[in-house]
Amino acid sequence: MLLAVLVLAAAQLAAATAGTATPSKPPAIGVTPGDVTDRRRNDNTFAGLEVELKLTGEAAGGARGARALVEKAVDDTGRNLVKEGGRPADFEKATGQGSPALKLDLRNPARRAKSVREISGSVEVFLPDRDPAAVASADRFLSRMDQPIAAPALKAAQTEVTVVSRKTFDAEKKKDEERKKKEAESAGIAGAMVSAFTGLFEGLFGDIGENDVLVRVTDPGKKVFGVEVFDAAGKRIDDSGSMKVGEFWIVKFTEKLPADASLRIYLMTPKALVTVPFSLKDVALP
Amino acid sequence: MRRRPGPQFILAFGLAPVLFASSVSGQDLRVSAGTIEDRRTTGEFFGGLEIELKLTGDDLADARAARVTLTKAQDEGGRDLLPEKKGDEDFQKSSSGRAPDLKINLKNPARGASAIKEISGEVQLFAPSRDPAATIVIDRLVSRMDKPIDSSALKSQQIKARLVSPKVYRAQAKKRDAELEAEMQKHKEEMKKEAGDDKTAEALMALVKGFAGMMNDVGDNDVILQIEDPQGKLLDVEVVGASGVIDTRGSMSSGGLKILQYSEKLPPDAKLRFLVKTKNALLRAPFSLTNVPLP
Repeated sequence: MLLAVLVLAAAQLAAATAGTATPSKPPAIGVTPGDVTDRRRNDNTFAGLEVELKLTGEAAGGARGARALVEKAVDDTGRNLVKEGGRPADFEKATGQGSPALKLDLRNPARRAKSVREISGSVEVFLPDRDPAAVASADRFLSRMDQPIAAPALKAAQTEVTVVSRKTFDAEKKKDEERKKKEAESAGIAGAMVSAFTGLFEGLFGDIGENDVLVRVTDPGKKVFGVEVFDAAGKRIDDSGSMKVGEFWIVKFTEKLPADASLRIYLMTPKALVTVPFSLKDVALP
Repeated sequence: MRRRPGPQFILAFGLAPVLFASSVSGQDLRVSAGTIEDRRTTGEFFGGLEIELKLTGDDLADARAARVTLTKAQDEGGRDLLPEKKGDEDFQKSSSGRAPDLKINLKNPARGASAIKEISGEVQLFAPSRDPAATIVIDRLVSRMDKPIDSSALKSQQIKARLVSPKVYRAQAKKRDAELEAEMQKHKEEMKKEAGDDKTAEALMALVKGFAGMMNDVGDNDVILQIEDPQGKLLDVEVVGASGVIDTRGSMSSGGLKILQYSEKLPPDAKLRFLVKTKNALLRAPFSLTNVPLP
């Protein structure tokens, strides 16, 4: 029987919001396990244990993104399930009305194990509603191409965001290609191969449509969570996907945007980023 | 510590002629386990045990396709691993001279099981070179458009085939599209009610049209075949030129329709080659794998 321990963030919130003078009311967010998939292979490719985490509680609905960081994972035979050398997970975005889907990527438990004795760590949840400085806006951005957006929130986050024209993007891309070519030439055959593959991938995904919005994001502190476009009435205009090519974020649109559209940039400020510790016990294995 | 015997592969050639008097028994075909994936999930989908079967032996030299049927699969605790519904038992074709990829799908073994005690069944190889009746060649296919193919060899296998020219096919597809459109318009209001809003209903209708129209787009050089094969004897159809099989750039099949796509015009003397699963072209080899370790 699966016993999930739901841990509210109350006690730990102070640490998560360190640096803020008056921490606001802690958000009620809990973590429970979802589906568990143990993929076992005798060639070890793509093998591992995947544990889905579900965010619960009133505040979970306001989460625009989240990521899970695992500190301890042990099966009931005592096997350590934490992958060594794994890089921290990327933030997962919320889809539709649901909260972000989180998955923990662990090592396979022992065949004779019946459950995971403990999985603990923390979930970082991005709740922009908690901090007005977590959203920067640029009104009528289509008429202000190629100049950095002047917003105090961006300055505070030490981030520069510029909506660029196609002309600027192409010129920057060309410069970048020349730089890469020179680097590849000096690296010999291996460099040429890397260059060819990079070109192939960028060719596949870097295709830009006439309605797409090109944004250059200089973000050394990795504070920018995402960008969205809104119409004059404040309704979000759905994009058809986005991608990142170097410093450039390409947000794709199937239709021409209205001239008075505005851009919102979401910033992961300390107040908007909440750390929720979790500890799950005796998670049954399939 | 208990020592488990290593995985074994066994072929019972001697039994084959007795059990399958109407077909040919394999002389040299060995079966062993390759990649094993035990996908265990609390979710609804994609759980199960998949085992790749590796085929080796001289009999493979003539094989164009293979398939496997299972009679027993048990883990070491005695749990029956045979799926309730029969899986895909279609022939898998060999490509580029390699043995056909055979995979079997079973139920998950017990969590604590460390091996599969036994998997047994039969591998069938399709080797058309062993029976002249298994290969039926129709010459000058380009001159046979829009009429049934008249062949006593096909008739004796109860297979009917007709080549359709791209021009006629497109006209038929246009008519089908119009009929589908009329049918959808007739039920538009019902669909809107069921879908909840106009936008979703339109998206659904576009999806239906997209699926229905997937095979409507044919090129001028494509070979389009309408086939009736009630006994499922036909394994494949290919186009052959003076120097062998002419490679397609793709193919599509749905029901009795098969479209072979070509980028270039076929030569006037191009032939159609039907590969038929006759009894004498099938080699049957029972197999049994024991003590297969689980990952």
